[in-house]
Amino acid sequence: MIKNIRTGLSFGIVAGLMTFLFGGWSVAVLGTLMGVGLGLGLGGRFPRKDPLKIAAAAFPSGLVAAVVLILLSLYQNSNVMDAIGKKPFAEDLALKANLLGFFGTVIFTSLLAALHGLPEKQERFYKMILLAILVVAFPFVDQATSLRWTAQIIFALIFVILGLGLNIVVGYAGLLDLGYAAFFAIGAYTTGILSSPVHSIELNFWLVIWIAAAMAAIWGLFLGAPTLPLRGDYLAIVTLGFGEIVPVLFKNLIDVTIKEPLTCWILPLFRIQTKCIILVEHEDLTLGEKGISPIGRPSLPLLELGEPMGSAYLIKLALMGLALALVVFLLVRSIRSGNKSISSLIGYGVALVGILLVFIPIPLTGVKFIDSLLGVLQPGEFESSRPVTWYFLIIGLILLSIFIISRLRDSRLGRAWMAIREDELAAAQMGIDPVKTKLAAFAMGATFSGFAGAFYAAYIRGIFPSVFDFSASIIILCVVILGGIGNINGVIVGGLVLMMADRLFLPALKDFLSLLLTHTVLPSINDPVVQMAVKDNANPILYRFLLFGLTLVIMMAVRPEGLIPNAQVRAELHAADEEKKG
Amino acid sequence: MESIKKKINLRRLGTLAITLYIVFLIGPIAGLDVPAIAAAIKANPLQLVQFLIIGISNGAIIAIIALGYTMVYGIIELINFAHGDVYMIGVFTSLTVLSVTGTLDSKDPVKIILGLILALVIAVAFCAALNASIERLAYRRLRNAPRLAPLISAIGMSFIVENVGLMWAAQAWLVPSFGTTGGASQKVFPDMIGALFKATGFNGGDVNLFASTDIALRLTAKDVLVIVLAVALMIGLYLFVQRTTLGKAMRATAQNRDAAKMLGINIDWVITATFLIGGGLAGAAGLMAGLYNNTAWWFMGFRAGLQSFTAAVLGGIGNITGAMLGGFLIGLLASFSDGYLNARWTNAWVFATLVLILLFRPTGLLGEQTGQKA
Amino acid sequence: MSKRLFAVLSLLVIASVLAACGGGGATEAPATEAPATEAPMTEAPATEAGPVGTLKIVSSLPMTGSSLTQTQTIVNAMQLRLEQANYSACGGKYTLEYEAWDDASAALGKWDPAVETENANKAAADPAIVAYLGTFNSGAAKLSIPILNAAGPLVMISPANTNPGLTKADKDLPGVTDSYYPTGTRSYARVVAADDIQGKVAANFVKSLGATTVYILDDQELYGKGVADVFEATAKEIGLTVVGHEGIDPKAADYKALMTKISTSNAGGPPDAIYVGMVVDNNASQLLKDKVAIMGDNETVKFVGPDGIQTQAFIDGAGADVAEGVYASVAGVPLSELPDSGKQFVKDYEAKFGPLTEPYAVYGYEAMNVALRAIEDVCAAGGDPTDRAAINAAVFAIKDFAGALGTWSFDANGDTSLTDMTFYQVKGGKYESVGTFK
Repeated sequence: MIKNIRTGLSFGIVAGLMTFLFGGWSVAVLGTLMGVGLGLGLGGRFPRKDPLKIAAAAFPSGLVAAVVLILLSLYQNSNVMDAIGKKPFAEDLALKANLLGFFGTVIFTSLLAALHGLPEKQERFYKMILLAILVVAFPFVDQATSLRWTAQIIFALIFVILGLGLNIVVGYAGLLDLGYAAFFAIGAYTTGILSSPVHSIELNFWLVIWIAAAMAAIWGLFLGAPTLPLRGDYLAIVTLGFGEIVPVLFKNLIDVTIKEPLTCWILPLFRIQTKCIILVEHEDLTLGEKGISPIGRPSLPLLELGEPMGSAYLIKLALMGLALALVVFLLVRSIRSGNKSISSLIGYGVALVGILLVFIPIPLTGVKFIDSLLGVLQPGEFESSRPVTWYFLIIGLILLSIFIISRLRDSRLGRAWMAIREDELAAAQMGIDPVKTKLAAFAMGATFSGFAGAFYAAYIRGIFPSVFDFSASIIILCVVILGGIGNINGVIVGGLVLMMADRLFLPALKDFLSLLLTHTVLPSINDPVVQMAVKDNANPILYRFLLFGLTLVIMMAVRPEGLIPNAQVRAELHAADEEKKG
Repeated sequence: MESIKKKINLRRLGTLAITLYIVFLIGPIAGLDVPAIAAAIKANPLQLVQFLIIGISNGAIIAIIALGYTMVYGIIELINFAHGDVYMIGVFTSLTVLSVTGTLDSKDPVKIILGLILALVIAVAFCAALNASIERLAYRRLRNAPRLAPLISAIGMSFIVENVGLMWAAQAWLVPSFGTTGGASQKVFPDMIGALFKATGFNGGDVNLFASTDIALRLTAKDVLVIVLAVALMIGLYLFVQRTTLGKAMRATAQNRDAAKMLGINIDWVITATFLIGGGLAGAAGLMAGLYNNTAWWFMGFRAGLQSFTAAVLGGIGNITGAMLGGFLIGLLASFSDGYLNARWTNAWVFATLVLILLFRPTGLLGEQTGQKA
Repeated sequence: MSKRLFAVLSLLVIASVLAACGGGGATEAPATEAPATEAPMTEAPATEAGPVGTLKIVSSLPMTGSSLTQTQTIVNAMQLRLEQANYSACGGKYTLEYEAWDDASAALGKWDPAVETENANKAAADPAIVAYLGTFNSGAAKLSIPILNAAGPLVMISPANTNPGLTKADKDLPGVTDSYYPTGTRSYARVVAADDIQGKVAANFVKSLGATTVYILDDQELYGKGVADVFEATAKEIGLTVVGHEGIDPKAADYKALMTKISTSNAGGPPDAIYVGMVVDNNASQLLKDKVAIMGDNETVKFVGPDGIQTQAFIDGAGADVAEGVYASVAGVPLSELPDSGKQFVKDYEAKFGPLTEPYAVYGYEAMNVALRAIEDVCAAGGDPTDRAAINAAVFAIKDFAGALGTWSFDANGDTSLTDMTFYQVKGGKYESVGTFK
């Protein structure tokens, strides 16, 4: 009991302090998210029995968390905003936000904890539904509250896909790849070269994304093949080398001339005069550091870009309801019948289509070919000013990746990967071909970074080689390690936590600190040198690499299996401890 | 039997010919344009010597750093990723010592020499201690963990040390010449050898030893210093490992840790000593690089680390002579690539070499079987 | 039990759907619920009549990494201009707000495509924003121009982009420039002259120094290579011998071998001059150090660069004695030859922020000047200054503007009519102007 309250308290304090950085409506969103986290965390502490009793038991800690949260948030609005020289949030809105945060925390804590009281299958099912609702509602809530976190989430989700792909190589097959960003670059550049007016080739995004994935896979084979005889550290270094060469390649392929060497100088060396055959002359492939831009964007037949209005909005809602109902129905049926595979696939598919088609705002005017059907839809392009479309696209890609990866993991190939990871020699004796298996890991891993690369290129509308350097590879590795090697859920959590910390939390902390200092400490320091020194060093972004490094070192020392570990990996990593104990 | 051998040779020749053809076909994209290179050498053969000098000097620094990699790998089979960054800390330590002691602005040759010696001693001591503490904090408890764990820990340590360098470079109150431009930009490491020559008036105050002759070559006192210092360090290390008890204990530990333990060797101390020596060498390399290239930059350790590791692998990891050879070869490769191929492709060539070496001769040029143990 | 739970769940679903609807409604509402998370840096004193609205101006410049030295002075200058306007426009009818956004990320240590895109989207979504001052890097502008063009268009005024392709069609890449402007209306203007002018003037300048042979190096980036290419083309036209043109690796430890190659590239000897198309971040100081070590001081072999190396960070990185004699060009006239309003700016700036050494501050000031002028023009014509299209049109209508840089106009592409280039030379560890050229 005390322990639960303490957990609630610490959650509340963390979330409450976060409101200091973001202010405004963030308390409502943070409260809800905290409630979900707290509920998930607390639920597992209770025995699987009556849900209502669990809800009641979790309620106090939810309440504590909620009270701490809104106390801090109210303090933020009344005092902290003054201290950093900002206008406080309008009172009536602040009240609404805090109430939402309060109820969000309490309700979600109890609800999610209560789910643990259900039989395991149902628990998972309801959790999925709740999660789906949160995922779907997030961008709209974000828009409504003007927090503008969606763009950062999209970026985090790109790294989630990359992490999922790297997880195949590192987590499943046990091959340390330190140059994974190279495949990200290959995917992005394939997209850039094939869908930009720069090269006068403008293929459709929906085609290019598959080509990009295929290209990445081919290069995965190509770069993977020579590294196969190497083990462990050597593999790491060679992949690192590739990771360094590939961006250099993209940076430098700006003036490609290929002359056939035999005819151009080898034969003339022996006094045989030939005509020099020039295959390619002065071709600018990648435009170097200039980068390729603009890059074509995806479009969908039933997508329009206007603001939601009137009856169209109602139709949209109705369609949204229908799609949700269908997903629920299919999932219920699949769970009842116990046959998950086909219907859950349909469920995923429908959810994806529903999300893509239905949640995108539909206008009344500008009706085109589909007007005879619904009277509201028309084709349109994804706009970067409308993050919601991109958000659902990347969610769709992630669902696709999760689906493929979880199938792969449980397949013959997946089991072969793990066998190789555990003991290559033994696996080979059992009839597993290590070369094919490892190559498949490289190729499959690269495929997903091809997706991510294509998405990134289209989303940003431009690609520049410096984005794909060594630190990108390391960040992806951090995602996998922080979350949990070999675990899909772990990688997703790791990606979200790490990238949100990097792209949302640290910059916000920097702004907050610098405002706080300029309004409080700095004016009281007389010596300009000290003033400069304090101002320059109180920048958390300066310590970013330090934080990444610490994450890696501490995780390796304390919890090498990651936040949400894979049971097998955990057993393996703690084998030494067991031996000691035994 | 004869015919089979011949067949194999023919096939090998064929592979070689095809590989060469592909290299000559694709190579020009990355500057490997053989006729142009031949013409350049013909036009100015003396320049070849010049590139040799530059390559050997740069290679000497790389070799010293590579020694640290190779020793650590020889003993605990770990790529100490943070090693390159320890070298960067060596540059900043010596620069800070030179600045704090007022050597930077000094015109007095005695003071400059004393300052340089002090900088060398402090940089060596500090980097040795830093390297040993990295081992103690990040690697020791992972010694029996799966191989992935210490490697990842090492990458983490490398990031931490890099960040320390970044912060260090922002402290203008400590070293005024850092200026107000923040930690990310490059800092000047003043040319102390040039200042020494000016102060003494030796060789007309010119660091170029060929300045007063007709030979159009540039062999500066800096080149000589770097090469002499590097060779001295290498010989010292070689004798140490071959002759002293601790050196023997190191070799024993490298061959078989458990057996060494049974013979009463204190493994922990041997490993700490290895890290101390490696770190000290990196510190010395830091001062040398600072004096030679006149730059201190938080990111310089990363690139140097990769090149040195490549050198260590090239020579045969775990092999001290190999690391020296590899270092000089990498230095020469970089210098010839800059001079005859194309400067912007140099890094790609260095890594391509690494990949090729690992593919065709994973044990390195002088390597024993340690490479395969990996 | 599970039935009851299901009921709770369905209620929750309905609630969240309703919340989503409510949310949708909230976004449609006008700026009454303006995001409170971003409050102004400084507040305007309320005038007697009381302002009727708020106009917001944002800048998007890399405020992380080594460009900060330059960008901070730009932001300072912009703030200075607003303070002079007392943060109000149209005779006190509107309050002005200003925010300095950062388009760099710690991940890259320089401008980050993802951050710049998000900044542009953020600006497009905030109806109070009427002008977007940026970017610093031309690559970044390529990403934000199309986004802002589709949002009104929201006018973008750059104090520092010099890539010609942003406004003028590139003959090698037909149609690319037009594709930055999806609405067909131009919405990007810059107060600084493009590289095609800088490179051209620099080639003439190098010739005027008495050089006949020149070696060109660049950092392979949009800006550096762009200006180096123009330099090369012009140099060939005016009869300079271009001995070689090469891209460098900006992260290399040293360039001694490269410099050795150059030292004998001109028929066995060094060229008369080396032109570097670079920014200081890309190892320019190291390049200079090795050049001086191999080929001697900057009197023997001249070292000339564009405005990317005209910053104190370059001199600090190379050392004052090594940098002695280096030439660098900057668009516009030197601070001492600015018109009176420009001189006044320098005086005010130095009184508030200390000595002004960076060349771009005055461009930041001028960019803000243009934005404020456009707002006033729209008001004077009886228009609505919150109308982005009107502001955009007013910016492009600016002719014979007497600003801090002189009297100048925008052409139809958004380029300035001021094409003066000033050359600076390092003397005693500082850049000093040596003359202005056209």
